[in-house]
Amino acid sequence: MEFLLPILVGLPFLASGVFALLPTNPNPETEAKNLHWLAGIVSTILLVVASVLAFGQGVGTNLSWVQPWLPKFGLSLAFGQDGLTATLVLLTTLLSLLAGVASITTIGKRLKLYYSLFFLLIGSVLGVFMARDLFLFFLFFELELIPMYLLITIWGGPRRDYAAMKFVLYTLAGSIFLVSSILLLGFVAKASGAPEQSLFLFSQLKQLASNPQFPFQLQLLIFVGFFVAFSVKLPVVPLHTWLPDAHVEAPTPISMLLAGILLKMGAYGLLRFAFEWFPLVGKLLSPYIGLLALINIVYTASIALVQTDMKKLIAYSSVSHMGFILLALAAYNATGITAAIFVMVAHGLVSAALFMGVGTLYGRTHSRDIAIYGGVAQKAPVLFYFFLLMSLSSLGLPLLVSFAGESLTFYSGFISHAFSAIPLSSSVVLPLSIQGVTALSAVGVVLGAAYMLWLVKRLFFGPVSEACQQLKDATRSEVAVLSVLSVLVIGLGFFPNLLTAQFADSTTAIASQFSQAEAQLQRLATPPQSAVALSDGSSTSSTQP
Amino acid sequence: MDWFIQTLWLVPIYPLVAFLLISLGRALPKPLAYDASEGHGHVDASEALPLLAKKEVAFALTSGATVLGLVHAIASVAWLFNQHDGVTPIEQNWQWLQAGDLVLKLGTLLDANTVMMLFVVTFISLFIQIYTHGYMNHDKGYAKFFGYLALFNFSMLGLVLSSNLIQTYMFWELVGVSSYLLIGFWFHKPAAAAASMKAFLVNRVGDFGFLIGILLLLGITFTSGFWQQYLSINPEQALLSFQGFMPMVGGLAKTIPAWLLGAIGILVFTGPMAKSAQVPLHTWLPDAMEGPTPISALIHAATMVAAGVYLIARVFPLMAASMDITMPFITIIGVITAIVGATIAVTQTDIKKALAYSTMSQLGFMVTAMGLGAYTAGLFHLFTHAFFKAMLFLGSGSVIHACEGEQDMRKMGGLMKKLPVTGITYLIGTIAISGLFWTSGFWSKDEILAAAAHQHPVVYILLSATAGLTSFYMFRTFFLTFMGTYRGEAHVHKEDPVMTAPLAVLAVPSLLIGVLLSGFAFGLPAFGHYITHGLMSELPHHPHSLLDAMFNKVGNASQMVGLTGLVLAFAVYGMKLINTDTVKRVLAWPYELFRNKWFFDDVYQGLVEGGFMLIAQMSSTFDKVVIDGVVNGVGCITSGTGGLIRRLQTGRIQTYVTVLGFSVLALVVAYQVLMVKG
Amino acid sequence: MSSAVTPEIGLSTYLALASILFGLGFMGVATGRHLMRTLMCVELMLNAVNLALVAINNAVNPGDLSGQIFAIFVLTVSAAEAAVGIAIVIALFKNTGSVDADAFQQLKG
Repeated sequence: MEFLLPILVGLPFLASGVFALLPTNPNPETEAKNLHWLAGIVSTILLVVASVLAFGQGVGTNLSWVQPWLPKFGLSLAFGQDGLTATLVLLTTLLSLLAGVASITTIGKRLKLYYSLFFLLIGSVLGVFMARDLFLFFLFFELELIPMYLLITIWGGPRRDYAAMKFVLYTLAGSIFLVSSILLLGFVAKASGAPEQSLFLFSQLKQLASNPQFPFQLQLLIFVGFFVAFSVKLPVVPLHTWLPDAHVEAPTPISMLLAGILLKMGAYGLLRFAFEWFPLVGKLLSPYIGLLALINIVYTASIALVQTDMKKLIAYSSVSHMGFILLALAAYNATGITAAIFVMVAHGLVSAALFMGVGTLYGRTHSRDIAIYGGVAQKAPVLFYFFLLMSLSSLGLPLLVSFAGESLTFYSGFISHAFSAIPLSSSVVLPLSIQGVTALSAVGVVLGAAYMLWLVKRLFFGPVSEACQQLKDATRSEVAVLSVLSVLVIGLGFFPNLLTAQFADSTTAIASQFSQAEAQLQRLATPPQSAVALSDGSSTSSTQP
Repeated sequence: MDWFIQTLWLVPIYPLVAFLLISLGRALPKPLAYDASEGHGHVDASEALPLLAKKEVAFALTSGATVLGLVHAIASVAWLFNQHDGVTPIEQNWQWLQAGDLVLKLGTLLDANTVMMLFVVTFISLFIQIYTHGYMNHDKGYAKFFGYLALFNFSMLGLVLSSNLIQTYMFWELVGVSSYLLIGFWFHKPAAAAASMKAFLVNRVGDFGFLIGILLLLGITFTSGFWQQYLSINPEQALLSFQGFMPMVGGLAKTIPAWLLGAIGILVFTGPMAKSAQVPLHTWLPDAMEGPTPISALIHAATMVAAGVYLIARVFPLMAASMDITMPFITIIGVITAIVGATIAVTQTDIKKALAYSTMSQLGFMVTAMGLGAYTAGLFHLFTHAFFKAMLFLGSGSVIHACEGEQDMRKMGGLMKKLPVTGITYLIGTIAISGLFWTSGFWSKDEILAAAAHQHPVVYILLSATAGLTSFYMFRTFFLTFMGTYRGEAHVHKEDPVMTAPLAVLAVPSLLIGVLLSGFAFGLPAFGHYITHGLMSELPHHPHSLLDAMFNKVGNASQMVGLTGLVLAFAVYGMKLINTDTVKRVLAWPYELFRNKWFFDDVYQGLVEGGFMLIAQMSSTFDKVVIDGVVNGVGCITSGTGGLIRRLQTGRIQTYVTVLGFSVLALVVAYQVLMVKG
Repeated sequence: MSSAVTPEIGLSTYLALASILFGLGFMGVATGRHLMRTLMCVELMLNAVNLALVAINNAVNPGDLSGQIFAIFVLTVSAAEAAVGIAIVIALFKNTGSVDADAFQQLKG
């Protein structure tokens, strides 16, 4: 089964090459049809391979495939799979299929180049999720920028050049931190006598990082590097301004992928490297990370409230939801990890559908201005019901997929025993505790409902506006995409355990890292009482495994 | 019989299945299911509809599900009567979500409280569905409406059967969204669209507090120490379960300070505050009357708004644990709501709005009872109120239907002759809500008054006055609508028997259910006898003998107050002895206050627009100008620096060579100097 | 005696000559405007270097010929460079009608 790992990563690259080299068909319509079919077939194969990998040997089987690559530099080609990777790979392949279908109605020109870049993007994302060598991870992480840049600049909206350039420069700036952390970790690994041929293997680095002898200052440095780098991608305020621009200017299928998967690369990196490998640092910083998450949730949600551009509104709501991931991670317990991964998947499904919805409207009227819409529900009832369902999920309606993630986030924050023990906390006047920031973050629940329902009201309710008189309802391909997403949103909403079981092994693994760090902290010092604000009751016992 | 009790979990599943089937029928592609509901369809095209989208099928599915639920409810009523010495609750749980140590469960809990609500919801639902069949018969969205009704029943029954607070929160939100969908059912009307959004958002504000309350409870109790010390059960078995509430609150009282316990109680209470339309979160309820009238009767009068009171009863140990903070808070909110609702109701001209404010006022009575610790009285009033208020709303719907959509009472009058069944049932409802002549409202309301008289004379006086006002404004609507001469232009249709039959059925409990459960008739035990057994048996409650004595005293007084209201209303609106314009002139200041709904909406409008949206706008500007400004600034600095430096690049080879030569020379010299020194 | 009358031509003399030649060439390149002159001055600088190479080789390690070999290499390369350079100058003149170095500033930033 392991042999499928490199195949899954390699296939999209192969497909990308094939699309680039295909001969031109004289009839553009047949060519377009053929290309769409071919893309659909490739995506389906990817989805099948990913499913075989995920479910083939029972849930929770860890796979890995390692080949030496440049042993002189300590680099190897290593791919692997655990629950977290399998979940995200499934999400990626599914969304790539759906975004491919969404391309049928939205992408009109240079299809060969489009699909070539599309699969280059998918390949690098899969590489990011499946790489088990840190340097390889970095390569894929950077590689993704090239197709994304081109996809935005060639097929994007009016301000595409600005948006694409901003996206690339922002991410590259973050990469400086990423590469410094990686190199630093590599030097430490070399100094500590790790095998020279495979310096950057995850398994070794994780072992190295959890070594109590690892100097704390170095850990802090590396953690901050990882954190900043992935904060750009997640994104975390104030490093978020590339996202609204990029989302707004990108064509609909690319917006779906951007929101659905690319943001998850940031979350994945945070969880896998910063939080799993350096739990000690993160645990000490957790209230501050929680504070960042609070700002993310509330600040961007209130910005979303006053947007006049519907795509920008959805984009800001994405940033707000990413705040929940950060908040859940800051809770530092198994519940929080589950919540974070759950929000990743839920947001991947829901935001893709929402972008599809507004993209469909944009395709009809060529305007993103909310003010010109009105009464769309009467003209396009099918689209309306899908959009309403997704909006309700986005605002966290129980028994739809986002609720489980969001509520677990709150619960994890409140049952968390993370505390701040660094001296900084005593000088801060705020009663900064993870419980406090979690409680304040719950304002996001109200704001989320406000901006989503207001959007629904302005777009769909009331009398039919002038611009919407001729509006056509969703086409068959659009209905297909939205139906698949709806089934998942409702199904996983009713039975969230189906999803959590999928990545339970990763949760356990990461949680055991956390509890090790907790034990280490308890040995080092007793928590200062001033840092524990709302948790009078919970501080009585803080040895939850 | 046992089978119905054991499979109680099926009760919410029936309407869920009905909802899914109806949605599926509507969602099927056009050739299979021609969508008659959305604009371009004709009612007579129903022949072309597929099975699942047909009106009869939608009706049969939804009401069939309700009938099945009612069977379970009746079985559980029988079960309750068979429990002689106290009620042993029956609980079943299934794991819904596991995350780390946290295990969330969905389950059913059957005790006296559940039985009461289960019966109310299914019974009233069923008759309202029959009524709806007549009311919505010509509406294009008939099937959709029944789909939403089924969705509401699913959420409401799930809420009623919840075994723990987290499950309650989930279904709490779901009833909110059903209410949102149904208020906004005619979403092409801007007022309906706005009202639906307002209802959901105001409820979300309440839920925000509720959620934090739950989180605090969870955070404090979710430690192994707490559970080992104060509860014999494992947290995994029952997270915030209602069965474990009593010992949990006992443990809380020992571990956390009293103010925190009180704060948690108040936070949890904000949920009911929004859902049961308590001041200051009441403003959504009158606006919610934009929905079709059956919805106003079912959701916004009988069941959902009462869910708040039901929840207070469920978590009553938590509230009762803080006698100094939470309980007085609840009482004050309840009394204010009762007064505000009643005073506004007096000035309303829209029949549904008047009834909505009356609902709000009555909910205030129930909440006051809860705050006074007289939860049996509060629940009893919830029980009786559900029947007569649903009937009143359905009666108003029948009037509106007959007057071709007219809702303004000034354009009605004299309708008794044309709509006799509606008129008589409306009169019965009016008498019941006014608490006159030993109808059901008399018994339940007077229990609340007795409790108030027993504890706080001020509360008693305020509530009694409000009761008089209730009688006045209810008879006002009756006289304006059914007596006198017809003042409108619309042609008045005849009554539809499909719609009057449910009215007649609901009139029976409106008249009799109070006396049957009062404890004074046929040797039947009182309502309080049943309800206090089970989960609430351990709570302190007032000795019956004391309350009975109080009840006799209060009863006569309240009859007198109610009659005064009746006589006043008759004098003003029946006999026209007093000119209303004179009253408006004399009482100009209070009249303006009441007519403008105590200015709550205006204040909120100002707060949201002037405060909240302003902050949001400022955040947006900050994001655009400052944060993005820094980002673009970095870009500008970089390119600006480049622009400066590029001037060095002259393009003249001579310059480069000169610079190169002199640089080498300088290096050589520097090397020499340093070497000599070194 | 004779050494006092006719000072011996040693390494420093050669190097001084080479420096003077190099300086002249450099000045020519730096100040000259005619491209042909620039090219010739470059040749001058290269030859100054050749002179230095040969002289140093002779003084430091007379048995070895590596300095001379270097010089021959430089000569070859400079011949090639002169050919290419003159070709470029001719092409420029053909295209623009000018051989003034100041006329070619397209690389100006």
